[in-house]
Amino acid sequence: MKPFFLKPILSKINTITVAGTLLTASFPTWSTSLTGLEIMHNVNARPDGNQVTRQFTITTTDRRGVERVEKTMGYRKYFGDEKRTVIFYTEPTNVRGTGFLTYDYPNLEKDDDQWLYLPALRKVRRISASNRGDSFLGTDLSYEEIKKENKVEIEDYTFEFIDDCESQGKQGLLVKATPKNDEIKAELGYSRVEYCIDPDIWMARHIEFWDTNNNHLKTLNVLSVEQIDGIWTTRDIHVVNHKTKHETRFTQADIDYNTDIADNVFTQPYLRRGLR
Amino acid sequence: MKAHATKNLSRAAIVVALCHSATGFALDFRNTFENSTAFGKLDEQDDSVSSVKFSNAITSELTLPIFSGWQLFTRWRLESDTRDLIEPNRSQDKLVRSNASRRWHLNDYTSIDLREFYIDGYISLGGSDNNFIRIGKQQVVWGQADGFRVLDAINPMNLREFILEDNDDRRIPTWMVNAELPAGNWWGSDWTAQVLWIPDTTYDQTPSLRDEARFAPKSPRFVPVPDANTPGNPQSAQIIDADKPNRIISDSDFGVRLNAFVNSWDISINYLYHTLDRAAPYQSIENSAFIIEPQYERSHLLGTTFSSVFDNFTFRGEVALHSARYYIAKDFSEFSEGVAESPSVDTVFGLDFNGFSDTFISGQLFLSHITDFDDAITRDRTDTTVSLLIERDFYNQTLTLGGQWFYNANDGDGLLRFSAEYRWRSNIIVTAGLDSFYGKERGLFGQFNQQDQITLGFTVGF
Repeated sequence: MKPFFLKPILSKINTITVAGTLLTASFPTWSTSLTGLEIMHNVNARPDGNQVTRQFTITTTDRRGVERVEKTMGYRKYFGDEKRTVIFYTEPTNVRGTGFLTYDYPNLEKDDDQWLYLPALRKVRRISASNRGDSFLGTDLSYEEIKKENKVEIEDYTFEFIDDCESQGKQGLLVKATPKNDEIKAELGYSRVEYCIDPDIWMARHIEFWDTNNNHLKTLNVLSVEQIDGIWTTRDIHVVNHKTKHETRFTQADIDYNTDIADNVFTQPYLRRGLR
Repeated sequence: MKAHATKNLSRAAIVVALCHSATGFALDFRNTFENSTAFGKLDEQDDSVSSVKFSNAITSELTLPIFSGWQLFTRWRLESDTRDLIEPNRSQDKLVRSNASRRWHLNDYTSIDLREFYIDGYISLGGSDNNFIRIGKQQVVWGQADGFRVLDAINPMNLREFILEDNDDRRIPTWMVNAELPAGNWWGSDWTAQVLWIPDTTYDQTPSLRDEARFAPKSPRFVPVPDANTPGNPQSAQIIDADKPNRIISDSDFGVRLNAFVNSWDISINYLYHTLDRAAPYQSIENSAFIIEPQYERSHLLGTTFSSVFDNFTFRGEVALHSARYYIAKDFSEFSEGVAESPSVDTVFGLDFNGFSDTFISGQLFLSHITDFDDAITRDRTDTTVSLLIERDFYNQTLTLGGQWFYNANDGDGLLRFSAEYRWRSNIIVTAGLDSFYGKERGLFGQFNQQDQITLGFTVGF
């Protein structure tokens, strides 16, 4: 079940968003001479810290209103241009200790290396990283979206600045992204994505997705953004899949960009030893 | 490399590393209640389906911070199977387990098991803070295979339900010292050395036909079966309890594993000097009686594991060389008391496919080869088993349907498993399954041809 206090807010957000997208002409325009590509380059240039430690709470709600809650502890650190991420599940009990380690290489030709530790097997398993459009552990976000952290792989899309937009009372720049070819389209599972970018912080506050058949697939709203240790950070994200009526809410807590994370946290032995 | 490590050890100043906990850590206590019920035939003559297992277990875990970077972890399980057909009566822990690793039996069907009890943390040693030590009762898993045991030889197994139980439940945790130390940078990669000292003399627990256990092996491949030519009375076979090793140092197991991520390959090199987990069943005739007197033997194991990803495929494998293993011989007079000794090579190769959304397909080929083979041995020189696993997730990964097939090419027998797992709530999982054995009674799987079963269960975390 969604918390009762959230329902009217989410309802209002969706109404405003759709209206904002459709009726942008009725709002004051945000003048920009930037192209869609330049806007997205600005988004990708947004600082995200050399490292971060944070807790995620992932709440999924199915079409019957059944709510399932998972909690994770996550670490991310740059090793030069290579980004390494490790996530440990802390709740619920039956998945506690499950760990997920990713090496994300700057060379796009090179697939990520990924490992999964399942406590029931007590083994670190190498897993293929090729299905980047797949659902991330049953949520309404894909592995690619989780990995990019509200940024976009520039090489996947052609971008077009459409108009101004509005999300949660903030004016923004509406950018349409179209996959460059059918292969990318199939990999990502989208024929079109529209980002409403807040140019003050170069972050998408609202995203609409269309599936490969051009049906409206899902909507992402950033419900809360906060500047932590000087870095703009999404604290609360809501995603709804319009086809399955399945919803996911990601909230972040205990975000820390400053405390050093030891390099060995991003290794298989650490993954095997579990959360400490 | 060895000399370097020795030098470092000799000048080691062991101090507690203060900065290794990435999260800070807090006391954590949690419990899991698990029900597991199975229905099948009680025996070969039984045409009806009855309850053959009704197991309820509570597992409690406690993580207790001791001091900076160090923690105590304990896991206990209270388990009760009121059908009492899996391990009938009080299980014979004393025959195969050390004093420190035995379960506490409250009655014929209820026991308390200390599943894990260890302290672990980091120490500064030889100029590095990244030296991890875990001391106590624990499980250590080597290898890449699923369901096949090639390098997974550190902990013994309780085979009370053959291979139907989860590995985590099958494995018997043992008392050991487990150290993982940096082993230098070679071929552009950081290597880690795992060093194990296992003084716990606990071995595989195999259910016995004497107890009429539901999954007691009866194939001549695994238990000596006197035939009509056997002198004495084949029906009066006597099994003498093995003289279980119990010396702390000389009967200990010692292991070393080196592992690294090199050029997109995960590789490891493994060595284990150990007591084989299954006693060699020596046979003799005394006063016209057929006597089986198992003895534990020592062996060296040298192995390697490797895995890498190619697009949608993950290739993985294991190879293990055993200096000596002991096989049952048909004619016990021809061999030293019915047991043939030979080195052996075991390998498993696996290919996982992730090309379809929410679907996992995995195939494995397992080969076990006896290098000094003799025709009297009750199995083939090369034993070949394949497995195929298909799993698919539905409804945002809340429902998982799976099918798994094991097939032994030598005996033409196999095992088919179907499973459904539904995550009803965050902390409640409901399961159902079907396990179906087929093939000749002499086969690894066929020997349990009458033990087909339907399973139901649920798990609640709290």
